[in-house]
Amino acid sequence: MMAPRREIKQIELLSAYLDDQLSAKARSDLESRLAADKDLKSMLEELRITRNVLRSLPTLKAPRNFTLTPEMVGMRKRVPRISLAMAFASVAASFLLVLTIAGDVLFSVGLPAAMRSAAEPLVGYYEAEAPAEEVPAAMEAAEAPLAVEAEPDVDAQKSIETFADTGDDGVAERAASPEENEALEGVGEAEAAEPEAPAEFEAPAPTQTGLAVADEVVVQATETHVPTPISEVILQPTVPPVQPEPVQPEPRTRISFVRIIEIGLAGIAVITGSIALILRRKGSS
Amino acid sequence: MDEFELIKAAKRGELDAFNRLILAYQDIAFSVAYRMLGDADNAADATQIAFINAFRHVRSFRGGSFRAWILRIVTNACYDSLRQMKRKPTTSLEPVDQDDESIESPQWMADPGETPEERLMRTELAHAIQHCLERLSPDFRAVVIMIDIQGFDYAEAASALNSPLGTIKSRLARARARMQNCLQAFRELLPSAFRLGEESV
Repeated sequence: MMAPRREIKQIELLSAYLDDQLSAKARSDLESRLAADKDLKSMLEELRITRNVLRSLPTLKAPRNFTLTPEMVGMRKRVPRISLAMAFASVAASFLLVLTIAGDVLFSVGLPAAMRSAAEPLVGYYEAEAPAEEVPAAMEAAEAPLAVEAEPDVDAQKSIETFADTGDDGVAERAASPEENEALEGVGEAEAAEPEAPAEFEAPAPTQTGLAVADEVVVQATETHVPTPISEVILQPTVPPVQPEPVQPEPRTRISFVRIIEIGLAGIAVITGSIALILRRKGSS
Repeated sequence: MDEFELIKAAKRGELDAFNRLILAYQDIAFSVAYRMLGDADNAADATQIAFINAFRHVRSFRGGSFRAWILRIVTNACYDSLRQMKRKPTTSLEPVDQDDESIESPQWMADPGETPEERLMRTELAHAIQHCLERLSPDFRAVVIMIDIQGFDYAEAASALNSPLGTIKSRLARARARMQNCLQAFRELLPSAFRLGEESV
């Protein structure tokens, strides 16, 4: 039902009058009209009743609480900083652990070849050391002139003369002089042990007598020679400059050290991760 | 902690502080939503949505009446709900029980201090008023709810409904006239104090 425009204006005026929203002048004008117009007054009363009926309605009680939860507003509960730090430490430890294991595996795979190449001279060293008693014939032969130089006694003179007779005059001539021999004694063993001398001193098919004498000289020379270990003398020029002592324990130390690092990192990763998880659960509950 | 402090805390994102504000305003918010929608479930949904939106936008509150600010959000949520109901009119406006049977009044409307006759009369009058309210357009309905039912003054209603004061005055006058015509059919339900000729100006 559409009220006429004039009636709507009157209702707006009466409504504002009811709520005391008119100016003093407008209010005074309306009150004078209300006193004269009974229909207008009746209309005002109808409006007042309607307003009072509406105001009689109570404010309803909410059927439940409308309080919000973090999930409802898309809020995450703050994770404690210590939890984040623990989580970061766990991740970092895990990463380092993986790196360490990977490096260990790679090093272990590459190690045998390197170890083999490093160990080969050692094998040669130990193989050379083992048959030290059975000195090669060439070495044995080489000892004879050494002994001759070291101990020039009469028999030796004889044999040397015998050698000289056979045509080898280089060494024989030198050994023939006793004064020289004495002087050589003073020079020392180092000179006597020089390999050049035996190399030149090749017995050129000596006579039976000369050979026997030479054997005796060898025996005497061996007995009277300054006790320099033969192995030292022989191996001095052949042993490579490898120090075997640090090679063997080194891998053991490295592996055990790596294992300790791995175990430590794994422990840190597990512990810090567990702490982070516990703190996070504690925070969210 | 007073309302100002609670609002400040809510602006900092403290949900507990905002929940305290919700507890203070949830009755009036639900009441407005129910008067607007005429259905308890839809009203509860609209109220909940309104509070969620209010928390998300609480930083935009620039002072003034927090109640008006909250009820503006509630009213907007009700407008959205009304639009949805218009598209899918599947929900009855009458309160129903678990067996979908219409009931006299929801439990939360009961006043334990009144007699059964009074309760019946009040319930029927409430239904009559609600019936008449639902005959109004949402804009008119909102003005009547704010000023006549909730007792807001014009300025606060204008703030809550985001409308000029003149518009509020005009809408209120027309809404009252329409409510008056509608309630003529339920005159016998009105208490004697509300009957014409029995109340002095």
